[in-house]
Amino acid sequence: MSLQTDPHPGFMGRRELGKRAAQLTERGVCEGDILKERLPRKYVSVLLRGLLIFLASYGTVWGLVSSFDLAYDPVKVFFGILVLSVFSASIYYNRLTFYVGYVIMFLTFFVYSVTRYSYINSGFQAIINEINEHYVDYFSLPALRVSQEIIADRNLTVPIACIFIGWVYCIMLNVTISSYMNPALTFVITFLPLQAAFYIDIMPPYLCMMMLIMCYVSVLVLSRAGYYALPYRYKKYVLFSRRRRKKGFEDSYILSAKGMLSVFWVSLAISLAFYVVATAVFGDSFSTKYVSNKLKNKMDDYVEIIVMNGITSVFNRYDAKGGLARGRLGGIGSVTPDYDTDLEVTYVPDSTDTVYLRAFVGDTYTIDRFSEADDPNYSIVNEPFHPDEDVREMEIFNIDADEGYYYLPYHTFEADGDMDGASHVTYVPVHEEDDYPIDDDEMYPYSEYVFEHYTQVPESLIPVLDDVVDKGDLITDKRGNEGMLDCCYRLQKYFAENYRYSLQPGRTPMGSDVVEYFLTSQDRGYCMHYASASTLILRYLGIPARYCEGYVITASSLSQGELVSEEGGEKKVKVQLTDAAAHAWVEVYMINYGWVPYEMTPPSFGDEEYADMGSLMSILSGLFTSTSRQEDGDTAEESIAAGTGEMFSRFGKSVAFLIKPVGFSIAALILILIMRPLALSLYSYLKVLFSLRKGDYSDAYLRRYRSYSSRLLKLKAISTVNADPLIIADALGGCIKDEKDLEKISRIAENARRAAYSREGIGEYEYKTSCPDMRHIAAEVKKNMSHR
Amino acid sequence: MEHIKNALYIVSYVLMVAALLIVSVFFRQILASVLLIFLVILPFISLYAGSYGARRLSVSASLPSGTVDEGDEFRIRLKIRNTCAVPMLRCILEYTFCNMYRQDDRSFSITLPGESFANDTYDVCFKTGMPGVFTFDADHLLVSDPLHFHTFRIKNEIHIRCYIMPRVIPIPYVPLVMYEGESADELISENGELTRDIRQLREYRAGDRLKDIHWKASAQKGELITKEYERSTDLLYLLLPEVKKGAEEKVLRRYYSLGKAMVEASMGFVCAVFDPSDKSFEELKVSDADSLNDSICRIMDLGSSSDDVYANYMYQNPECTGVIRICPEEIINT
Repeated sequence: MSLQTDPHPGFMGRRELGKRAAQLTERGVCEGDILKERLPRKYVSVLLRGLLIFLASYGTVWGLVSSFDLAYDPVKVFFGILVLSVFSASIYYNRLTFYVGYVIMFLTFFVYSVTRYSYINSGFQAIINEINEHYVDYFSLPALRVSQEIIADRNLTVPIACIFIGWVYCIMLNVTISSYMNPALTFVITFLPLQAAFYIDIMPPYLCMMMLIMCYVSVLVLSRAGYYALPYRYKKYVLFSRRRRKKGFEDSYILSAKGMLSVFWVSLAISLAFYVVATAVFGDSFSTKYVSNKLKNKMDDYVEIIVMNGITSVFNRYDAKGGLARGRLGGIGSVTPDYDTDLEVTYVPDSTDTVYLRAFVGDTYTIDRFSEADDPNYSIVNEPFHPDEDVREMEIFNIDADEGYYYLPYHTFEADGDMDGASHVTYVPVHEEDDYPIDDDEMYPYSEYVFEHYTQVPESLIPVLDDVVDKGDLITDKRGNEGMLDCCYRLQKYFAENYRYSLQPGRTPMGSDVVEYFLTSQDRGYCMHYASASTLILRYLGIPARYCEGYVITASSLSQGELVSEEGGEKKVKVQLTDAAAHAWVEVYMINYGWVPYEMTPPSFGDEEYADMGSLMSILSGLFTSTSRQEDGDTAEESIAAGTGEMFSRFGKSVAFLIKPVGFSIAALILILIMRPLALSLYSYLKVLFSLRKGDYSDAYLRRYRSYSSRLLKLKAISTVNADPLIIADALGGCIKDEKDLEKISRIAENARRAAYSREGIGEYEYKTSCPDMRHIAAEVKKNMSHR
Repeated sequence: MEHIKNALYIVSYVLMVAALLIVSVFFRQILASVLLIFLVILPFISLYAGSYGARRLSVSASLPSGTVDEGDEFRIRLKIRNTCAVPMLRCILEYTFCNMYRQDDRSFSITLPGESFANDTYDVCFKTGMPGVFTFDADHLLVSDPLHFHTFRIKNEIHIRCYIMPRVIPIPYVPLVMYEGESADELISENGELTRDIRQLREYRAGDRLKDIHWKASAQKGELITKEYERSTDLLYLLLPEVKKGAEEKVLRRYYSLGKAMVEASMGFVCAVFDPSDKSFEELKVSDADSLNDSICRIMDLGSSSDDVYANYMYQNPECTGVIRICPEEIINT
């Protein structure tokens, strides 16, 4: 064996050489370089890195594009990214390629980006549009944002954009793989974009997932093995990197192309196992089976908003902390007030009755949304229906409420001031017992409009509303205002008996209408649900009704108010209304009385807790108290955690979908464990047969001998299989006493040495005599060891 | 630092599993579930493969034959052998090496690649700066499983000893005195008997004893012929190397240089080697290069001490005179 003759101390540097010289003088001996027969094959290592970069970048691009059914030219993209990956990796071949390569790469990247800008931009927009389209379909969103594609030919633009994205990936992955061999960064960079597909239950091609898994496993193993040292940093002949330790030094092998290759094969085996498990367990069906939970619902909210309004809208979105919803009913799974003051109201209360400060008035209902009433004939101010007496004043200061509205009590005369600041209101407090009929003749045109306009309901909801009317027995024999009130009363009673109040009712499933879902499945909700459902039910019954939002001053909030002044027995109170005081209610048009607020929301009995969405417990609680997304067409489940047993039962349901893959994996593992020795024996047997057919008795004998020594190792008769055959024979002397057997052992060892080391090897006779001896000795050793 | 790195690695792995668990349970992503299962199973597979492979891995070491001279570079050949397909990418051999005269407790390590079916040879070079016994010891091989969750400690003993011969230094002229502790005529033969055997008759040289002149032969030949007894002239000098702690190399160099000069001049001598363990002296007869090397090796084996070697010798042999003391700084005739 010819080893390097020159130790090349130069790479150590002067400092290291000085240390060596000092060590030599002081201690009489110092360690020099470590040499190997062959220098590391840098080009193989570079190619393997290039392959890893290719697997990751092409796997991501291909996975993304295929998931969203984008037509592209796979051959062009494949070879384009392959060339770029290998080129990126080869940059690290030596110092010259490092500097020159990066200059060339960035220069060409710049030129490509500039000259192909239109194509890249159009292709990129095409990908975004396609993703948007899939999301719109998945979430059944009403609108689709379409970005403009300057060049419409996707067959042209998408491949160019793919190569561009692949190029960007090659640059990034060259840093994470070639430079740092960092598995976490590689995973984040490549796996996150694919979340766009996974999130809406689209599975990228399994082959692309295999490519990614191969890359992840290789990078994970190599990052810890120390085989990823960049060749360009070391001189050609350097094999080991030296690191100073507390006491002494540590030399680590820096590059092994063969090691990298073996890791590569291992990762290929693991990715194949992934393929087998994934296809065997899931096949092509990738349908998600939800048990709805808060985390997912919350995430869905954001995703829908991004899809509909762009990513910037996330930072300025309507949230569900309390306050007005402006008639947008969908997309809220729970309400968690922040209890910050929204309005500050100063007035002289004349009773403890609830005062409604109306802001938003809903008009037409489409899916999940009331449009805002724009009623030219009926202004909220100067409302005609009121008694002309007991006029009072109210100061309303908008601190943190929606600035797009005035917050006015019913029967307001005048209102002035700013929406976003203080406003002064003159109004007439009206109580239930007050009787202030206005001659309807004055308002006839408006009444006619009201009865025609505010009794419309979406046709799609008619079956549901009809069903509720039947169930609640809402139809009354009474007529006029009395009949309206009777209907309202019956509906209120129906809600109180069959529905519960909850600020965390859960999100409406995709494709369902919020009112429909509330009435048919959800069975619980907060004021918005009751007011919207009541509005539509009353409209269906022919009673003009409107959905209103605003704030309410209840007796409770009044009692917490601050006394400002007291004049002539009248106490002026300042009340702080937080976002929890925001409310939705229904108002009914009563003949001769106009719009009258009616409270349909059942009381909460104080058992409602406001969960903090940010807390871990809240998130986890979603597993136990999750709401009712339907599973496989079953009816919605009641989901109140009533005791530990039920909680665990629900948790079991939540994770039940894991049973199949886990079971399959364990079964596969057991099968592999059982089959492995059989497979290895078969492989060994076939190899022996092959060697015998070639007449290579030495090779066949050595294979048999290896099995024999492995068996002895298993029996703990020897401590290693790698020792010299004579040493193994000596070790067996302890457990074999019979002279003849000892002779056989010596003969076996001698033949093994001859087969391994001598040029002529062994012949058929030795093979045929020693092989039965091996079996015999192994059996004897087993017998003796068991006696011990 | 290595422990922190390992801990961080395991923590990050656990975090990754936790993240996938959350994604699996809350988002019901099937792929995440499959990855989760893999991430949970992989460590066990890795540990199993690691323990399987570790038993089939060994590192042996050998020293190229021949002596090593001071100042030379020599190599220890490490051979790593992996008889299975599992790539054991981090095989760390922890070893110590030192010159026995300068004990060194620092430990070194070398990470070798135990690739699939590896049978590779690496040469670790060492440079010598002083004579003595070089030792290279390793007890264990640390082998990590492929995913590096656990490090297996396998017994892999390597013990290598190597004598580093001193270099020859110029010796100032010293008139050597003969050892007078015993007569050449009374020396004991190898058979344990008194010997007076005559090796040869030769012409008289200055310095030969008169009583050794063979008068009869001289008369016959007409010139002075003297008797040369069996080994009588080889055993005339006694060298006492005083190997003191901290100055061993100087003594060894002086002894070796002088000894070599004497052997080349066919001047055999006796080397009295001090054994610090029981304060005894071992007398080695040196007559040629091999016996000189043997004596050097023996001196190295017995080590050094801070005792006064000469005083010890004189105490044990009070009658003797003519000892050639090899001190660190000089050679003294007594």
